[in-house]
Formats: sequence, structure tokens, C-alpha cells
Amino acid sequence: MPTRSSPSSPSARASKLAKMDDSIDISQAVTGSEPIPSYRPDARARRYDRQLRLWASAGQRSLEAARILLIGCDATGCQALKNLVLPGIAHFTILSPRITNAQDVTTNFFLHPDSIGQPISQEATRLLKELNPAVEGAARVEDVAELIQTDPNFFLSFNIIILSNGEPDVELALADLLWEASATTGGPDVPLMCVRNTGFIGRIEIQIREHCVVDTHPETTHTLRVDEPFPALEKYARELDLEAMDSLEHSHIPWVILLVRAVSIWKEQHGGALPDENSDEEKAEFKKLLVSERSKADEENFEEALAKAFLAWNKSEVPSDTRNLLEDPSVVTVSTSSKNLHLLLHTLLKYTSTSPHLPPTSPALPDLHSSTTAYIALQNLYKAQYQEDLARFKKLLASVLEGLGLPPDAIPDEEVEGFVKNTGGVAIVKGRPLRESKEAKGLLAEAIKEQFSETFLTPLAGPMHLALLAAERFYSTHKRWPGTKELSDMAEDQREMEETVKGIVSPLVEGFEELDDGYVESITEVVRGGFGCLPNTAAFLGGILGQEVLKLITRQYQTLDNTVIVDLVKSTLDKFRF
Amino acid sequence: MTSLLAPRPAAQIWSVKKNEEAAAKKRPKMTAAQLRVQKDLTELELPNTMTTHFPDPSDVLNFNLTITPDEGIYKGGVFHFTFAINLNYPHEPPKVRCTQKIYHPNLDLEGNVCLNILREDWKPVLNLSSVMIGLQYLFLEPNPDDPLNKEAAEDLRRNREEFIQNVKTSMRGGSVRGETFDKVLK
Amino acid sequence: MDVAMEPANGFVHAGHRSDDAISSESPYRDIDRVLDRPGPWTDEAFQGTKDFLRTQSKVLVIGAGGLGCEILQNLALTGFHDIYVIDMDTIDISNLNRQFLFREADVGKSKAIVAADFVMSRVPGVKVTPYHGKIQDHPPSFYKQFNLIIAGLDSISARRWINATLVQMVDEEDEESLKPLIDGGTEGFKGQARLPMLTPPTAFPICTIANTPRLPEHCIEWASVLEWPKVFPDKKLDTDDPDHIEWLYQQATARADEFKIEGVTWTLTQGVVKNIIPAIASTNAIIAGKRDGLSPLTSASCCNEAFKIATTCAPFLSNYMMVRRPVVSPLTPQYVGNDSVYAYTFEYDKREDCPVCGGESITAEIGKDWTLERLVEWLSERQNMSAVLHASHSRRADTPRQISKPSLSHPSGKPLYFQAPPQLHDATKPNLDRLVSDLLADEGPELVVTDPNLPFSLGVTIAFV
Repeated sequence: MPTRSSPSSPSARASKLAKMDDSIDISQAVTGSEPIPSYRPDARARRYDRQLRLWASAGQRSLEAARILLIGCDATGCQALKNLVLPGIAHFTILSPRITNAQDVTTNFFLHPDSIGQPISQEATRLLKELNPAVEGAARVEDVAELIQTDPNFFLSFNIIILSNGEPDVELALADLLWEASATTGGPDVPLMCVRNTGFIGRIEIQIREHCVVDTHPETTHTLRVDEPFPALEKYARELDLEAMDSLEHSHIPWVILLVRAVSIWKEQHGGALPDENSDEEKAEFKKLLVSERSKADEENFEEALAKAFLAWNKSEVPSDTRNLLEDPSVVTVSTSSKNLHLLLHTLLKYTSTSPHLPPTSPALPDLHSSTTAYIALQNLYKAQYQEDLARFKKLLASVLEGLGLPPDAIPDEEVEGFVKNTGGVAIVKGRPLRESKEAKGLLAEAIKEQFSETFLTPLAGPMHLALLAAERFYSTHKRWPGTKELSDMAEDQREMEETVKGIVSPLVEGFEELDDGYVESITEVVRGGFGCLPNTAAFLGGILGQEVLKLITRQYQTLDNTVIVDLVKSTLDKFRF
Repeated sequence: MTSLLAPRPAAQIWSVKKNEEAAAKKRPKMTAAQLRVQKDLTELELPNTMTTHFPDPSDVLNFNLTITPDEGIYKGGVFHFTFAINLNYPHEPPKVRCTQKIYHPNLDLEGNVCLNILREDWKPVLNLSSVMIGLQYLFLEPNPDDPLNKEAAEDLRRNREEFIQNVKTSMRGGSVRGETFDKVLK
Repeated sequence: MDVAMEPANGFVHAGHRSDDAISSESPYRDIDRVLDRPGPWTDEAFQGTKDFLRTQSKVLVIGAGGLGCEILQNLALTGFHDIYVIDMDTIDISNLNRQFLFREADVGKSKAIVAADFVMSRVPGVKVTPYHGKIQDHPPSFYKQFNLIIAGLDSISARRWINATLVQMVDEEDEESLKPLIDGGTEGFKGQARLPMLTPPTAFPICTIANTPRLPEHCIEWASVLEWPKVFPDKKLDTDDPDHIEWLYQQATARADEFKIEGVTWTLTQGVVKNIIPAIASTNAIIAGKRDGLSPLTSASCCNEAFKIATTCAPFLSNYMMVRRPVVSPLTPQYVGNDSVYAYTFEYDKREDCPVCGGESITAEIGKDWTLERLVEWLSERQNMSAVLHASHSRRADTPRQISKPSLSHPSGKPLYFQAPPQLHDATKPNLDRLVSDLLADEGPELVVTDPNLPFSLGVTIAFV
């Protein structure tokens, strides 16, 4: 966190304090001989304080370099932008040829009645920019379909594109453009987020070819290696003289040490084998060995060690998620155009191919019942091993880079260190083309088959997705959305929508005859909304869009892959991979 | 009441005219914290080694507890604690302090008490009785391995007899290791 | 709906869109679509309720922070016309990354007032009335004037308070006293069982803080819990005062250096003492994210429930619980672990032993000449009392339930007759011989009764006959 960006000088602090009524005597603040510098956060750090605690300065740097394009200037899109301007993206552009009307103003908080008659993208840009003076905003009063034809490179200059309630044909054209651009190795891979809402119903679809997550923020990052301690740890644990300790010291030996010690003794007695995880007898025997050095019944550290005794027979290994990544062809074989993460994973593959066949040791240590000195000593053991493993990793990486003809500093040190500290926190998401889902092929076709083979297992939002798909086909035919005509015509729209859904399902499902109530009702609700924008639905979808963009940009946390459907009638939300 | 099970139009759920008069008649009822304290206190079954004292009998949220151990190292002493209960009780534990300066491994010189259920292990299912019993236990079995007063704990670990002498000295109002303690004998 | 909905120039073409007959003139066209026509899941009794929404309803928003800003925006756009907002806080610079009704120039001003002014200027026609102050400053009668209350509160204790206040306002004879509370507290209000999880685990053992610090958080807690009261016995720690944080930071840093502990920073110090992030940063950042990052989702679903309740255009979350505990916890999205799942929860739990919703209440019709002792006897003997006790303890109906040793107090908490402890028993025993009518003269006709056999308490309203 960039809290050290602007240390105020101690003298400045003192004079500021002196002016305050109930200020504290600063002389009491310093207990050592050297005054402690303040590092009080500056205005920028204070403005972003809450989010920095979430994604740290690395995430913030990515954010402050991000350029976002919003196509379609409606309430949903502007809500999404609001959630991105506030935390401080670099730039946004809104693309829309439209002139603001009264209904726009009613649903969109980033328009004002005075905006009526003015270009909508300019008006919304002006009001969104007010949210954060550090963010640059631009409006383009142009038609997106034309621009795709005349200037496709325009779209490739953004980090992420949000297309809000676009025409189905435009959605497809843009999706194709971006998917093709990312097909070439090293080509731009711009995520496309398509959002559509009608009344209480909303849907977001994300198209991205490949997304690398550098930190999923896993629950733990420890690699305690109780079963396979590194030599310094084992030596330390074995050399402790428990009998010479007084009760205080004895009851404050960290449980990690107690376990490492017991495992080491066990292995010595069992020809190097760990306790058998399938043998209750051996496990009980191990626990007996563990507590044999306990000096009285209620020592908390021994209690903790007993609770963690399973670590003695859970063999440390490369986690399965990491193993899957290492087996990916794009990691096994790398080239000069491979992404940094692939090069790092490739190096990790080499790293784990030699003994002890484990990822590097993490310097992280959980808090545990211990004295300060015992804890710091243990922490230092892990830190030293991390440094040793890091050095070994860097050496391997250097040879990988050299083999490819890349410079030794091709990957910044900070990135290498972040990776080595947290190899379990990386992920690669492989996306799918939007066209496949829109044409009811691929995974969506599989999902439809599955749904109709298992009666009564219809998930709530599955039918909703088909209803929205049918509405898009309806629009392509009629150049209007279902439910936008008079009340009496709703039944007609409904009938046509039902036929369209049947038309999607029947080629896929043998013996299909009738849609069940879930489908009919979903279609009715979609038609009822008439593709009008409810402010709450817009805000909700804007919230999800904002979160997903932030995750993509910071490359932190697991991203949505690839469809989410929101039903605010029933207050539910479902995720799908289509 | 069952009619409320079915959703009804808003107009039926609320009529919009206000009924300020009826509202005025309704006075605030008892807070959850006070209810719980009333239940805790009136169901207390304290041994004769512990007594409560309420400086203001109409305020049940602030009171004193006196412990007079009848066995163990601290037998003969009279120890005073204050209990302050805030409106988040029982979601938060009561705040307990010793008002005297005493020589004890689990109390510091400011009157802070190291008792797990007063901080990290507090749960709303615990009650005032659990806390009082816990406090009394500290006088019967001082714990030298999780000390708050490091010196006292060290004395106890190193030489129990000497520690007992120190306790006796301190309870008389004497000095131990240069620190003068409050007289707590009856 | 932008490109899709309108021809290239929506304004110009709006006049001759004859095919779009549904109130195409109304600026509320989009919202009217769901108000003018029922959906498949709409209740049969659904009827036009636009009037109620747009001219009659009166809504209170508690909190004008991260959730509150979003809630105010959404309510105003949805068509609620008479909105009230209450918040005691002033605007801090760290609010600006999400509380979008505020600007840098507003720092230091009242959140409620600035938010109200902004919404009124952006959405002309809506009336937003601000209250800059504490929720506890208003009597229940204040809360009674609203049709609907939405709580967007960060503080757990404030949420508990408003929940209890609304429940206690409920007069079962008077439907108007039922106030739906939509609780936007970012984790939903999940009853006692879940509350400890909402409280960040910053309570380290005090002996760890005092003698065996291992983490930077231990050093910070040492400074705030032990050192501050020692050095400044008469000054309360103000975690919003940067100079106070500075002092703690300096102390904690010195201590960390002494113990060779790494990681004390200004930001961490502030985070620990203000509970911004729970003490163990790695696992709890996601919780902080829930609190601060997802307000748009939470508040949108709050307002969506409000809209549905006010218009019945779609089924809203069951109102059954409004009787005892009028809390609606709307769709609460949250990240669950690694999986990018937005989970959601509804909680309707009423717990028998819950101090807020678990108590029963009865009316006692007694004579003017009754002493307190007679009332106590009456309570112990009353036959149909077992029905009350049964009702609240159906699962253990076989256990005999009879009031045996009741303790009575005024609703203010002042004891009337306590069985224990001895001092209070002795002090209140003389009341047994006094007339109930005299004892209640000052504080009113309500009593609170507890008893070892009651799961929680019994409210008794005295009516003299």
C-alpha cells in the first residue's frame, strides 16, 4: 500500500498538533531515541483508502492505467461507469449517437432534465466526470455499427468494452471483431461485457479469450510443510531441549514446531514413512507420540498441535489447481510471445520436477499460541527458506528466459516475487466466443439437452436465458423488442417468443413437445418488462459490471465466466458457463 | 395475524394517515441489553465468597463485585471489581476492572484482567455468572503461563513458596520488587 | 434503452411513435411497464398502485453512507417522492471513492444534508428531507410516520437498535404499527447466531497483547487498549482523529521494533482500531470488499424490495415476520471464497430466545387495590399462562412451564421486584406491599417480567378495572 508516498516531516507534524485544542504532547509519542517517521497517508491515499485495503497498490496501478469504453448510454451502462470512475480508472469513452429524451432522464441518474435535447453521451460524460477529477472522460456521438466498419482499431484501443443493451447484430459484430483480434498470438484480447435488461430481469455475458489472474486471494498462502520439513526447520525442531524449559517456555512452543518434531521422530522410527492416513491405529499412535512431551494436560500449544495433527499424514504436494495449470500445453511449451504468467508457470514446472517436488516455500505463517521470540524465530526460518527457494526459482527463470532469447529482466522482480510467494493464487480463465452462445451451440446446446433430459431439475434462470435469446431473435426480425406494444398485443408477442424458444430447443431435444410453465412464465416476465429500464435493475447490473471490470483489470479474484442472470422478481441470481 | 401470510396490496398494508396520538402512548420498551442483564442478575446464584453492590440500585448496568476467597493463596483478601455493561450486551462482554492494585499473574497494575471469556472467547451464550465464576477461579488458580503481570508470573513459576510470601506481603499493603500494592485484607 | 430502443434521434422521433402506446408520453414509461401489467408471479390482488408510490408513500432511509447514497439515488429514480434521510456523520475524504453524492468541497459537511440537496437537484420533483443526528435521538413516534424504513447502516449496534425499536413499536391490534424494515446491512441481519461473525475478530487475548506480541496487530492493540488509557486516563480515544491514530502508530511502531515484528503501518493502525479491516488481513479483505465494494448491489436489491412492497407489482419477501420482527434482508450478494459466486440469503429466523423477537406479551386486568405481591402471585398462578409458555416453547412442550420466581421491572430497566441479587432483592422487597397503581404512577403501565422458566421475558401491560 502506498502509505509511504508522502511522509510529512516530524516538525510539520508537531506544529500542526500544537494548533489543536486537545492535541497530544508529541514528546510522549516516541519511546526510542530515533524519532519514528510518520508516513501519514496523503489525500490521494486517503481518498482510496478503503479500496487499497482490498487490492493494494498493485491493483490500484492497473486501475489507474485502465481505459474503458461504454457503448450505449443508458442507466445500466452509466451505473457501471460510476462504479469505475469512483475508484479511479484512467479514462472512459461513451459512444452513442442519441439525443437525450425525457425517459432517459427519468431512469439515469447521470442525466439532468436540462440534458434533454443534448447528445446523451456528452451529457452523461460531463456528469460522470464530476465523480472523480482524476479521471478523463470523452464522448463520441457516433453510431457503433458504422464505427465497427470504418474504424475497428478504435475498439482495440480499450482495456475493456461494456456494451449496454445493444442491438443483437451489433453485439455479434463486435464480439466477432474482438474474438478474431485476440486469435493471433500476442494480439489484443479485449474483454467484451454485454448487458441486457428488461424490467426486473437482467443478464451479463462476458467474452474474453484468456484471462490471467495473478492473485485469487486464496484463504491461506501458508506452505508449512510439516510432513516434509526443510532441513533448517527440522533441525531447529529436533534440537529444542524441552526438558530444560520452564513451564512458560514449554507451553509456548509453536504447534508447527511440535508437529515437525513429532513427524521427524516418527519417520526415524518408521523407516522414513509418515503415519498411514488410512490407519486409525497409526494416527492414534502418532498423537500419542505428539503428546508424550506434554508437561501438563491443558497446554494450549499441544491442543493446537493435536487439532492440526492431520498435517502429519496429509502429504504436501503441488495443489491440483496448480498441477492443472502446469499441464496446460501453453505452459509446457513457451515462446517469446508467451505471457509473463505462462513463463512463470513454465519455470514452476521445472522447479517442481526436482526434489522435493514442491512449490517454493511461502514466508507466510499463521498466528499461533507462542512467545514472541519463538514465533519470530520460526518466522525467520520460513523467511530464510523462502529466500533460498526464490533464489533457486530466479536462477531457473533466468535460464528459461535465456533459452528463449529474452532479456533477464523481461519479467519485473516484483512480479516474480509476488508469484513465488503465492503460487497457489494464480489462475487462467479460458473463455468462449459469444457467437457460440447466441447461436445456441456449444455449451448452451449441451445445457439445453441436459435440462430437458432431467425433468424438474430446471434451474430458475436457465429458461430466462432462452427467453432473452428469443427476444434478441424477435428484435432481429421486427426491429422492435417484445412487449413494447399495447397491452393487448402482449399475447401475440408472447406466442411468437414461445415459438422461437421451441425452435431453439426442438432440434436439440429428441421428442420435445411442449414448454413447461417455467419457460412460459420466464417469457411472460421478459415480455412484461418491455425492455424498459428499472433503475434498481440498472443499479444492480451496474454493480456486478463494476465488480467484474475491477477484477479483470486488477487481475485479482476469480472472474465471472461467463454468464450471469439476475431475476429481481424472485431476487435470485444464477451463473452459467455457456 | 395469519392474514399477513399472504401478500396484500400496499394500500391495504398501510393506510397513509398517521396515528401520532397512538404512537405517543407507546413508550420505548426495555432494551435487549437490560432485559438480558435482568435475567442474568435475578437468576444469579453466587457462593458466599462473592457479593454484588449497586451504587445506584435503579441502574443495573453498572455495579461492583467483591470477591473474598475462602481458600487458596489469596484467602483473606477482599477484592473489588467494577462491571460496566453497554447496550451491545450480550453481543459484547461486560467491561470488568479491578479497582485495587494487586499482585497477581493475571492482573496488571492498572486493574486489567486477563480472562479469556472477557475478550477473545466471549460468546453471547455466556452470562454474568460465567464471568464472576471465572474471576473467582483466578484467585484459586493463578495461571503463570499466560501472564499479564510478568514478574508475578515468573515468581510463581520459579518459586511457589516465595510467590505465596509475596502475595501475603502485597495483600498487607507492602512492596514487592519495589512496587507498593493496595491493602486488601479484611 | 439506447441504441436498441430508440431510432437514432430519440427526441425527434418521440412524437410519432404510435406503435408504442404504453404511456409513451410519460417519463415513467419504463417503470410503468411493470406497474401497468401484471407478471406471471404477481399476486392476484395486484392493482394500480402508482398513486401510492408517487404521491402518498413516505420512506425513511437510515444512513447516508455507502449504502445510503445508492439507496437514495434508486428510490428517487423509482418514483418515491417523499424521502427522509437520517445520518449523524460528516463527510470524510475516504468516503469519496464510493459515496458518489459527495464531492471534495463537501468534506466536513453533514452527509444527510449534502445527500438530500444533491438528490433533489439531480432529480427535480422529489423531496428529500435530511436529519443530521443519531437515530436514537428520535422517539418511536417519529418512526411511526413512515410506511417503509430502509436501513443502510454500517454499525451493527445501530442496526440492532433500529430493529429492536421497530419490533417494540408493534402493537398487534394495530396493523399500522407494523413497519417493514429493509435492512441493507451488507451481510443481512442474521440474528444472534451469526452476529459474532460480523464482529471482526480483533479481540486478541490481553496477555498476548501485553507480553507475547507476534503480529503487528498485537502491537497496535497494545497501544490502543493498554497504553492509551494509561497515558491519557481522561481522554477518550477518537479513532476518527488522525492525531490520535498518529500517536497509536508511533507507539505500535516502537513496540514492534522492540520485538522485531514487521508490518506496522499507518494504514494498518487505522484499520485495526477502526475495525476497517479485521485483524488478519489476508482472509478478511474479502469481507471488507463486501462491505465497501458491493454497496451498489446490496442497495439496489433493497430498493427493489421497497419498490415491490410499495407497489405489489411482484412478490416481495414474506411479510409474515413483520409481525414480530419486521426485517427483510434482501438479496445479499457476496463473494464466496475463490469461486466468484454471488450468493444470497434471506433470513426470516425468529428465535424463541431472541431478546428482540422472542418475548411474549399479555395484558393483565387488575384492581386498583392490588399490591405488587398480589400481582406476582397472580402471575405465578395464572392457568392460561401455560399457553403463552407453550407457544414460545413448542419444541419442549413436555417440560412443565410455570412462572415460579418472577422478577419485575419498569421498561426503563429500573427494578420493581428482583429475586436476586440480595441487595436488589432487599431494596425492592418493600414494593411487594405497595399498590401497583402507585408503583406505576411515574413510569406507566408496562412491566417486564423475567423468570427462570421463561425463555426470555414477558411483557405485561396493566389495565385497571
